Amino acid sequence: MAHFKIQNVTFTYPEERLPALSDVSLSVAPGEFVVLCGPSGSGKSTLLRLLKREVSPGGRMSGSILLNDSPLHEWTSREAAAMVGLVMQNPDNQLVVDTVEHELAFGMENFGLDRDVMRRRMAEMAGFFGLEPLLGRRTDELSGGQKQTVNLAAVLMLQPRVLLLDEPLAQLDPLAARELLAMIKRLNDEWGISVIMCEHRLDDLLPLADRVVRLDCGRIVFDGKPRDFAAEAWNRNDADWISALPSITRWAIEQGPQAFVEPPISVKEARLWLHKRGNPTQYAREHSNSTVEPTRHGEPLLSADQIFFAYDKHSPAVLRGVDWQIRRGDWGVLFGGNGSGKSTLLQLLAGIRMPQRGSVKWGKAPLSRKHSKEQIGAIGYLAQSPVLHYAHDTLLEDLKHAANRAGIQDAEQEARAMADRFGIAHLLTRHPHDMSGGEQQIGALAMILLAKPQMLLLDEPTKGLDPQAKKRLATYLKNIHTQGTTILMATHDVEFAAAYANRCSLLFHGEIVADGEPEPFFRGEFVLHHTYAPAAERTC
Amino acid sequence: MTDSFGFRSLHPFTILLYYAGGITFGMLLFHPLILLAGWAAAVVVNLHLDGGREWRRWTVPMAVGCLLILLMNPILSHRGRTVLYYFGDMPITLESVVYGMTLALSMLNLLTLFITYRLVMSEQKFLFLFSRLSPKAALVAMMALGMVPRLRRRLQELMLIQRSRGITVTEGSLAQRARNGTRIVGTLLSWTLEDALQTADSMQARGYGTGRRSGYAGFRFRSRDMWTVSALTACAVLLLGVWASGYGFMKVYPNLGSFRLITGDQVALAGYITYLLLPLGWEWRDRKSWRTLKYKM
Amino acid sequence: MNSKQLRLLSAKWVIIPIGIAYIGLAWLALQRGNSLLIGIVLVLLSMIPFVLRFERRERKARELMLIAVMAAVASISRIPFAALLPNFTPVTFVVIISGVVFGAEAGWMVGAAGALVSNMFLGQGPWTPWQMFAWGMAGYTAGLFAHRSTWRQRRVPLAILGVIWGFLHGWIMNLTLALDQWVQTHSWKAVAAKYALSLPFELTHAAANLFFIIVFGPSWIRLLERYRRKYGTLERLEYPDDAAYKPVEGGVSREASTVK
Repeated sequence: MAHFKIQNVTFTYPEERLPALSDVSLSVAPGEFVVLCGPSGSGKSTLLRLLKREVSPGGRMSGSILLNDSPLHEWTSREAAAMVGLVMQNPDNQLVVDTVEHELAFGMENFGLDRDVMRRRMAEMAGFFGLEPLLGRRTDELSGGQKQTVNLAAVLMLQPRVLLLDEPLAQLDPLAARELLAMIKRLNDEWGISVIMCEHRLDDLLPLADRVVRLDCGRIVFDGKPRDFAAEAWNRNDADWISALPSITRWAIEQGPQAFVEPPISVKEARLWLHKRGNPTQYAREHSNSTVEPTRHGEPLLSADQIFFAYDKHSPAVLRGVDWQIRRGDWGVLFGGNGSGKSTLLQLLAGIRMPQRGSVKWGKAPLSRKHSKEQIGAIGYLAQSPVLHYAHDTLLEDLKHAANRAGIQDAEQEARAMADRFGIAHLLTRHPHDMSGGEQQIGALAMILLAKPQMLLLDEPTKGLDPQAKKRLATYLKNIHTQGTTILMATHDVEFAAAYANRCSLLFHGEIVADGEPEPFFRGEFVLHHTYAPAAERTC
Repeated sequence: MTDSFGFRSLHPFTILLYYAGGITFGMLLFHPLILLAGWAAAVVVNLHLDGGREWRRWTVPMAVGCLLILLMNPILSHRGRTVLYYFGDMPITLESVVYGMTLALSMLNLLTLFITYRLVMSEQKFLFLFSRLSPKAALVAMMALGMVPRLRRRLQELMLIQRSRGITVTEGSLAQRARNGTRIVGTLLSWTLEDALQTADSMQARGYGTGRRSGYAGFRFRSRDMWTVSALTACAVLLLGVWASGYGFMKVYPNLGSFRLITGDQVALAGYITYLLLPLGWEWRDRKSWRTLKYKM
Repeated sequence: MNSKQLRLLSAKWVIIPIGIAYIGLAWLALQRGNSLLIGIVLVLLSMIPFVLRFERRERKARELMLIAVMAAVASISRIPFAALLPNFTPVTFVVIISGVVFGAEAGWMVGAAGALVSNMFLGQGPWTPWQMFAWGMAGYTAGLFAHRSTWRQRRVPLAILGVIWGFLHGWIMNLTLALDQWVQTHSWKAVAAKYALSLPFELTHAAANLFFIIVFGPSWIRLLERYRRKYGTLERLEYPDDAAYKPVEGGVSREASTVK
């Protein structure tokens, strides 16, 4: 059992005037599950990293951090490293060595443990996490969720008493995120490990946590029970606070000014609440606020005609005869489980991959390997990792390259104008790899839009974005859509889809199995309904 | 998968000893007939390990390499007394031809042995041995090994996306393509270095650098290793003795000796073949136990 | 004998006698006109000082990471060029630039580890130690040549080094056969003829190095310098009263002050 006591901590990064944290005091009891939330730049990550000595940022700090009543810096390096475990956001980047077994052993080797001890712990942990079948595998072959589970298990090998989690769910699909979260809850319940977790979205977290701490501009602005947090957010009526709430709570709040005894924080509670109100069938119908109505009978802009695709001769086909049309004015959303081939289909439609059978047609002409001049600009594709779109030393050079390719006369001026429009003018001289994920995405979007595409394909554009960044992205996309660009995105984010799309499709087993307007789509799909319950609930 | 079966079940140290000896004697014993026999033995080992699949995959490059040596040697080296033919005014000598043939056989023997090495000495076993010699360098190798597949996938994605931006290695002039290729590799490098900062954090968070490290990877040195090491050493000592007393290689220059194997050479041949085939004993033993198991079932 | 006892027989004390025995054996073989063994034995032994030196010092996580990334990138950097000329790859370029920016020792490690790891995917063979040696030395000499001199980090001096290594690399790879040629004939003409046969490969290699260094040398050096600083400034929390928390200044490779 271990507890943290943070007393009047003020922390300033080098070469910064304003402190990142000011006068933060917080105490975490043994076995507690604490969620740190707050907008980007609120200092929650800084606070979390200050608690982990080995990765603490450089800067000046006053106040004290006590772990089990002795200052953190007085602990011996080994004890401190073992006592506090840290799991970060990106599943790939935390993996150090080649196989799952080596990865799990890596921490124990650092501690110079005996082989017998290591083997015993390995057996225990592999059993607990069900990793036995994966031990001999290369970490590279695992799915994102499995990788993050390995990262978690690798940290637990050192038998920490406190687990720090820095947005561990942000890069996972909803299903994997829930599984990992359940695992974390079990560790907290059964092993009594204290958990301190940073997260933007509290959807599944709120019912599990013991306490919610909200930071804003480096100060603690809320510290209390999850339920009180929901009530506080409601009372404040502040968009930032509300955007952090689970969607089901937000939906309940939006139902009107009727007083809650307490706002529901899980789907189950929401059902009960509706039931108590007496009219469970009369759900608010939230219409999609997309700007252009779908044209049912319009000419298809881009169509897939019986496409088959496999990555190589010996692996099973990812797409098996996809027949699908996207019409002008659509804002389409493509759903599908992990590995269902959403990304592949998008890349085929964008013409950057070629199907083995069937064809993709732009208007009436098939997309060919050699793009004609008008095809180059016609379809814009934004990959899941926006960093893939950069190849130069500054954002400006990349934008200029894109402008040149689009055949714009004064490339530099147009690039700067575009950057202004997207609010990234201050980043123009920055190296693309120094920008945050959200900034990279907006930059890549700007590059694509320089070619004035009629159709924009986006692969999981909301993954890993905080609510503000998501809202900003939505605003840009809405603008583009209003100006007549057709949009198609693959996503797991049902809520985002429900709010903006005017057409939803489901890819399953290599085929499009459902296609329609959002409302009937969500009502009819049991699987989606089940998997994405909290968000889908809003539209039903 | 098959790591607990036959030859592959041996301790990495035993395997290292086997290959060190096999390669050393493959170079020391310079007699076409002995090398031919050694090559045949290596092929037999290949057939036992994976039915010769891997060996067949490499036949063409191996054959080309050996053919080149075979052809080149008489052209480059004009030593020897027995001139077979004048190529212009360049003498092609019998000795040089035979020497080239022996050299080619020696290379063939080595390469064939290395194909079995890849099957038997897995990366895990090699890294285990390497980490005994140099734990830090082995860790670097292990980290790079873990990174390569990830980087390869990223590189392919990068090439795919950049192609749609006109940065491609398949179109344009040679210089332009090379330029684009380097741009892509540079982007990958900078991206990876950025991400690797987090990996380094993850290492430190798990206590890297807090003191002496230990090694998890463990292979048990079993009695079958003991037997194998003893037998291999016995063979090696015998071979060394025979070689040191002047047997096991053929006199080529200045004039060709006889191909005939005298007693000492015969011992060398028998010793070398025994050495190469020794670990197959375990292969046969384990196979037999499977066969009896099958009958019972 | 279990693995614990094996570890007790410390690597150094096993390697040195074996090495000496092998040198004796190879020398004896050379006396009898067989030069195959001597080259490989010397190449393997030449790696020992580098490896031991690498072991001697405490290595920071970021330092290992940097070397591992460079080695991994070097070993896959040939993939985009598979469609171009054979032997026209930036591997040597990546190794040389690593040596220039991170120093001789790190350069050797990047080259050797790059060769070792790429062969784990392409297939190990008798060529592995030779490649490790050739690329390792390319990185090492690049570090000695230009790590501490900004003047030599300019295009032309580096390009000369690159061209030299373009040829040397191929010559090192063919050393076994060339040495054998010399032992057979004792004629330099035969050795030269042997090398002339593989000249086209060396020429492409040298041209590749020249091209990459002239076109991308300075920008890659800038890029890596940026990361050398980023990795080197290991800033950790500063407590006024605790010396152990002082940030470590300076570069990763420039003989960084050894903590502990």
